[in-house]
Amino acid sequence: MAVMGDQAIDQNGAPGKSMSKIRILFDAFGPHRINGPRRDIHFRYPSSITSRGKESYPNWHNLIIAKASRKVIATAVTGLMLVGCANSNESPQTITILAAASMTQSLTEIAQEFQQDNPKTRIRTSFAGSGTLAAQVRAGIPADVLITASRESMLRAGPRARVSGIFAKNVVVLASISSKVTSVADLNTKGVIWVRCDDAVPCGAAAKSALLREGVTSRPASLESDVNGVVGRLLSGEADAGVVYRSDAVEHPQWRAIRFASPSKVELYVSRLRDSKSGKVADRFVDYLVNSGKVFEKHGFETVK
Amino acid sequence: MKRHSSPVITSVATLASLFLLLPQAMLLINTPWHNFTAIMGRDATFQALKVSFVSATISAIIATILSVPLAWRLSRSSSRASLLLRPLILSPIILPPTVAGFALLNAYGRTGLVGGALRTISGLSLPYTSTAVVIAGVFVSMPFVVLVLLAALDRMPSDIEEAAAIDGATASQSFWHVVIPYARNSIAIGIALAWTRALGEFGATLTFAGSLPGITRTVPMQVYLDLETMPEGAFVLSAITLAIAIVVFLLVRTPWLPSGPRGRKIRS
Repeated sequence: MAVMGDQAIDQNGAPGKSMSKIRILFDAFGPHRINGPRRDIHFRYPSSITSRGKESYPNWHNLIIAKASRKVIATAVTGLMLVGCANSNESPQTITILAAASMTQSLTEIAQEFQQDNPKTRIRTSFAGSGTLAAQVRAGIPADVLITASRESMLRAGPRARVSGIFAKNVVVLASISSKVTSVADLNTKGVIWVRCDDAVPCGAAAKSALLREGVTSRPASLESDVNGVVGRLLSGEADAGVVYRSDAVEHPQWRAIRFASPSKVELYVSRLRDSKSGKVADRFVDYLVNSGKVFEKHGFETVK
Repeated sequence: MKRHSSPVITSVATLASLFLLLPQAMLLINTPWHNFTAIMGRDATFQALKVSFVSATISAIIATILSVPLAWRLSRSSSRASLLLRPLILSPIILPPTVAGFALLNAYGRTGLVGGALRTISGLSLPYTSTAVVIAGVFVSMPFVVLVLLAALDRMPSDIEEAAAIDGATASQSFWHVVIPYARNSIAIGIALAWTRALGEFGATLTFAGSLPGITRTVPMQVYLDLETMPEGAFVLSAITLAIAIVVFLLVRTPWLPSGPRGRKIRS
């Protein structure tokens, strides 16, 4: 095939009508070349096996076989890889747990105990905000157990999650790192910097109602998207006080934990996902979890009788 | 006119563009267009857009004003100190944003060196203010502007300045009337880059400035929160941000700006 289109040059070698249209398009959108394309090189690359291609390539049948076998090999390798990947981490004794961030320390401990009691089981955990986890489960992330900090998130996770009962509760407290805040009323003092979670997440909704009931009218300096954000502000010293869970206050005894007069609680739900591949093991873990009241109490949760 | 390319290169190019285009296309397809104006008028969405746009614009302007003299001095100086200074000044480009925010806290936060002093003297603290959002934006976008300007200024022939000096220009006149016009394309690109970078900043702003609607909560923070609770809000904000990105890049390529097609390509 010639470098220029077949119709571009008419018999006398002068640019024909279609050439000028192409040139206008080229000028508008194509690259700018000062001298035009090189016409002294004649490419012999077969973009498809046409009759012309056959002339330029005497060994075209070898090329087809080579191409075909390449495709077959490529498909086979990809298939094997996919099959291999699908099977690699899915031994029936591995379960994946998605849990709300407030469960980090307690769930890790429970998972370790469970693995010690059941040596053939491996547990993988992933911690994030309840809403994020619900969205992931709804979108089909492979997992076996879901733990959220609100009934709404569990419902939002879709049909995969069977809404089960509450297995623990978490209370919000006011944690203070500064002597300026020794009671909840101190939050109204001018110049005090305090933070809490945003209303849209479970920890924030609980914080808001507890603060309202105690007559706190001052504005927080920041509305974090999860409780770990509040914990981070306290740890870095950028806030005087923050509304966190009691389980967080237990992990950081250096803070002053101030209780609310009428505290707000957050309820933790657990659900074994319907399409779990390791159903029996997951069920056993959920039973184990629900009966781990002592561990939860140690970490600052309230158990449900 | 057909350009010759091997099938391998073409297929890789096609896959690459599909890889980039597919997520954006899905974003636009899944956006709830029927509710769009209602969600956009929502307080949270509107405030996030306001905070982002205003702070990004101010950050871009400040970043550029600070970067031009800095890039000029860096490119003209050949001392060992300035050779060491270059990677340090450009380092926020590769710093993970949260690390950048953490670094800002250590310098300008309540307990930081400058911030602590500021607080002791005047009682003011920078975190949790809109100023902090601008500072975070300047911190992350300035290295990009410096990079772009250095690329231009490093290549500037010294004869031009010498000619100006021979004609009697002072250093300041030379800077304003010779250097800046020479690099005006790069300055324009730098402002655009700084603006988009500051608009997209999440980790540093969150860590340093906090997240309060109407004051410090930017669009990325609002999207992050909306993902948890109200995905339609996330879609609307993402669609708006995508539209802005496309408009900005189209603007930078128009013939009306010196860097667009049919613009003069002699200057850098």
